[in-house]
Amino acid sequence: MNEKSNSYPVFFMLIVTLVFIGILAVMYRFSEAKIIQNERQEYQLQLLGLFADEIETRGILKKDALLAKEKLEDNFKSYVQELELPLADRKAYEVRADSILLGYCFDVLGNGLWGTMRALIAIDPSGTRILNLSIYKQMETPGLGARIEEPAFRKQFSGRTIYENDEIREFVLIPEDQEASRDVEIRQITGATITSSSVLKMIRDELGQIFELNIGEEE
Amino acid sequence: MEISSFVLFWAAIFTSNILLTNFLGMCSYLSVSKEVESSFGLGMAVFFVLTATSALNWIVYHKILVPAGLVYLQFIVFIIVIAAFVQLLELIIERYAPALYYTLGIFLPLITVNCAIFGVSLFLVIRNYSFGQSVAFGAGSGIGWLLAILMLAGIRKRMKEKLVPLGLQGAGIALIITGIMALAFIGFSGIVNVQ
Amino acid sequence: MTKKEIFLVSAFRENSVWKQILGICSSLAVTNLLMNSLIMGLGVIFSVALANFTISLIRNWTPRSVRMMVQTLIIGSYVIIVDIFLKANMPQISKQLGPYVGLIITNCILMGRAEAFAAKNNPLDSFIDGLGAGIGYTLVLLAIASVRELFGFGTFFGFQVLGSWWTKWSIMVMAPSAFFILALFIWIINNKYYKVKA
Repeated sequence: MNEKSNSYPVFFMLIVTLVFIGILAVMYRFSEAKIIQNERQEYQLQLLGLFADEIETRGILKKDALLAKEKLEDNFKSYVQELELPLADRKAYEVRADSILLGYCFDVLGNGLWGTMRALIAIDPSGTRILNLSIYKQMETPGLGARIEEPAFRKQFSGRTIYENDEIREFVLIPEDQEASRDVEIRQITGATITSSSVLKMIRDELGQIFELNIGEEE
Repeated sequence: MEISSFVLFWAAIFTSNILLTNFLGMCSYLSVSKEVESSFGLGMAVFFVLTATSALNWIVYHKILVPAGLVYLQFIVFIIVIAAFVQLLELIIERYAPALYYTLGIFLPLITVNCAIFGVSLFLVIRNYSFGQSVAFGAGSGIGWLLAILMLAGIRKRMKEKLVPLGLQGAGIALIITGIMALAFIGFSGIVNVQ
Repeated sequence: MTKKEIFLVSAFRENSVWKQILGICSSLAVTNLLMNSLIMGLGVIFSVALANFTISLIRNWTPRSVRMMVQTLIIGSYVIIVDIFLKANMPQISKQLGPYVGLIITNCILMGRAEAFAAKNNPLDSFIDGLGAGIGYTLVLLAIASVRELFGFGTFFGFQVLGSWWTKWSIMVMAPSAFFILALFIWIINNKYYKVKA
């Protein structure tokens, strides 16, 4: 094509590629540990956060102290213990403070509109009431379905009973601007009906599966 | 218990059209939609490339990048795979199907920079789709994109003689039409149920 | 042109969004919240300014035949840097933006500025041009997002502005509103600043 040798473009491309990949690789190596650490911390924060009110009202530890970034790892170790459950891909935890059982926490998964969601469900020691819910991973549309992560939606599940006539109860969606008048009603997220009902379905299916194992009663 | 490919395919066309709800591929959508024929050509090219690159990028990601621990390079690798595939396709079509080349070929260079193609590749790794799901999602998104650009081109053809406020002519009115189309597509949201 | 002119032309007079309708694909989807739009905009400013600078720096050694590949590679690298930075330092936001950070690569503005400006001008000017293009783009995103967030959630950057009496317009949170607002926006700008010939 021109008087320069044909190999020059290839050579040039190679150099540029190597330089940039090199820069990226170095940058990634330095951030990798931090990214993994972030994920771990986020998980611990979510899990302990579900029990933070409970722990504070019992006068064991203030919320801020419990969830302080530096203390997170230690607190997680001292309050949370993993249980062995024969459920693939789902973890279960027992949360104790000073040998008092505060409740259980299940790491569950279900299908959203776009992909797998993962959530932590906190259950009271008797296994009859949802204490708290946190959806920590989801692929839903930002600003729409992704709002299932927001407290306004997930806090609705706090205190709801799980059983109704010996069956796992089925929650019902109502429009976002209405007040829930019955114990089974959950205000949905406007514009994200499928995502909202996927959350309900996930809770129902997963709790059903877990309670077939009867761990709640073992205590 | 994974979302079925069939559901994803339909969801990608109707309930969450890649263009009407994710806004991907807008640039060529707005500029090419002036004529129905070229819209169809571009739409077909997008559909074909999208389906193929979804499969390719899934393989590259799960069989090369993940085992090699190079996931952080995914953006560059995906765009190179797409560019290389488009180039290859252009060569093959030119060589073996000259007639097709005249209708489709001119659109191929436009495709590498079409965000829809790249976007779908990113969506499928972020959402951790299986191979089957990826191909279904890619094909559905392609058809959805084709559908959207064809509809806009059809409407714009009819709009030609109509009076449009000066400041809105061109892109402005095309955006408004697209908005109305997007509204109409919300009506489809009931047809897909995620199991 | 002085540096200031380069900036102003690239940010306003030749603003990619309302003059050329470029680059909206990658971020219109996140404009229902101001915070996401701002971060997305900052990502674009960073990538376009530095990519312009780098491309301009090596423009005299870049062989014509691989120019596009080199540009894509450089743009891609800066976007990956943004992505890694967000993942490491702002995990919450990185999670919310999901694939949209990566989509900055296919944002036509980056390629457009590289081709139209950086390939012909010196590094400093290219940097300023990129900065201008990125800031102009971010302003448009923020303008759209402020309408959508205000009417859709009653909030502004997450702070409650409209009280509980406000009925949230769910349409504003959903996709169609972005098309309408962008169209209105272009209309207003066209009428006000570019006297369209009758």
